[in-house]
Amino acid sequence: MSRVAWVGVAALAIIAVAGRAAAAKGCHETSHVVGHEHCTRFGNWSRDQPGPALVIDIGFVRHRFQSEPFSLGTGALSVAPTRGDLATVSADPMANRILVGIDGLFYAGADFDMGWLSTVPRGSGTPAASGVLGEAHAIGGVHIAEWRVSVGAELAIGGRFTALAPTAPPGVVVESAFATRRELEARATIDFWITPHLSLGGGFGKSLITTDDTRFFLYLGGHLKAMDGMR
Amino acid sequence: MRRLSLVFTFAIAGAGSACYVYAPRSYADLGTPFPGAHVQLGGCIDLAVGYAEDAQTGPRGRVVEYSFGNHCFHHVDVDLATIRAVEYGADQLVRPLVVYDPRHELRPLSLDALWLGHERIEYDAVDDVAASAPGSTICVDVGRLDRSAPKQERWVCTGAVVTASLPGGPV
Repeated sequence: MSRVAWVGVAALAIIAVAGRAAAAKGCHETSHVVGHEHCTRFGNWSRDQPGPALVIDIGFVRHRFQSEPFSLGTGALSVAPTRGDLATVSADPMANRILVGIDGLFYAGADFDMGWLSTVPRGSGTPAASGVLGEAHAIGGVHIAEWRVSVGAELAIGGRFTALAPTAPPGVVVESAFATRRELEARATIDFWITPHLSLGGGFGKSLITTDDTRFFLYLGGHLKAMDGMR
Repeated sequence: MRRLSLVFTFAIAGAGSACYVYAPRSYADLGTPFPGAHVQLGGCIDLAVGYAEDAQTGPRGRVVEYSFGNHCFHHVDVDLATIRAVEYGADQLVRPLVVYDPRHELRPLSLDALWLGHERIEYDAVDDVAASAPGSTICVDVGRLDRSAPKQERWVCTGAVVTASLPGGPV
């Protein structure tokens, strides 16, 4: 597992243990009877205790999109706008989402994706051998739950950064091509709640500003508040 | 390597905590059984009522420990303020007990899905006669504690569960 993945898992761990750790602040309790307690108060087991409905999702994303025109080396190259020239990002990218639930119905936050292109765009002239993709979005959404399943709809706005490099012998410095693009996506999500604090989710997103731009994602979510306060 | 170990430890602890839930009908917290008599109220709450001692309580005080788990996959309201308590003395008299709640903390609160809680509540005798009566029995009516269940009288007396109204009725 990559280093980034471990950091993500650690973040999940922190969020999960935070609730219990908060109770141990070094105060010495002399009685556990209501009215005699010094360190705690009645109802520390309750969901009514104040605290953010923080969510951390870690997972993978597959983003399929039309590459921007690019040029490598000395030739002026471009990508023909055909399906065969789509650039896709797959399993390697780490996807992280950090969200905060609002009133059990709404949520807002951000996501960050980073990884290798699994399919590089084709052009005429010097071919691209590899590429990386980085993305960041602000997210706002709404979700509802029934039994152990919740569904949601969200809007994501942000941008992506693509870097492409040509084939080169080891040790040879080559010039890379870079491109950035704004993104606005509508997404649908579905989560299965393994426990009230742990969910397995996925989703589908489609760009609202470009065609041939779709995304699938899967993630494991840690939730500080049970079911984000939905149920 | 040291950093990796730390991350690994966090990962294990986090996964364990996130996966930790109250196991329905287990009447246990991480394998430790709830103390006292088990009571099913017909709703989402698995309740155990036990009796405890506490050095902070006065001679008139009796401490009742409530342990409860929510076996449903949604939150439920738990109202420990609705519990009535009486004491049956060896003289066959029924005496009311009053709850000790100087900070007015007792109120209905929500319990998350598959979660649990514990509370110890002191009930005080209103006179010294009851406090000193040997062989007395404490009974609590927990029938309105679980708001997901129909309201009913449900008396629990020092280890035994009485399903009907108590002889002589609660005061």
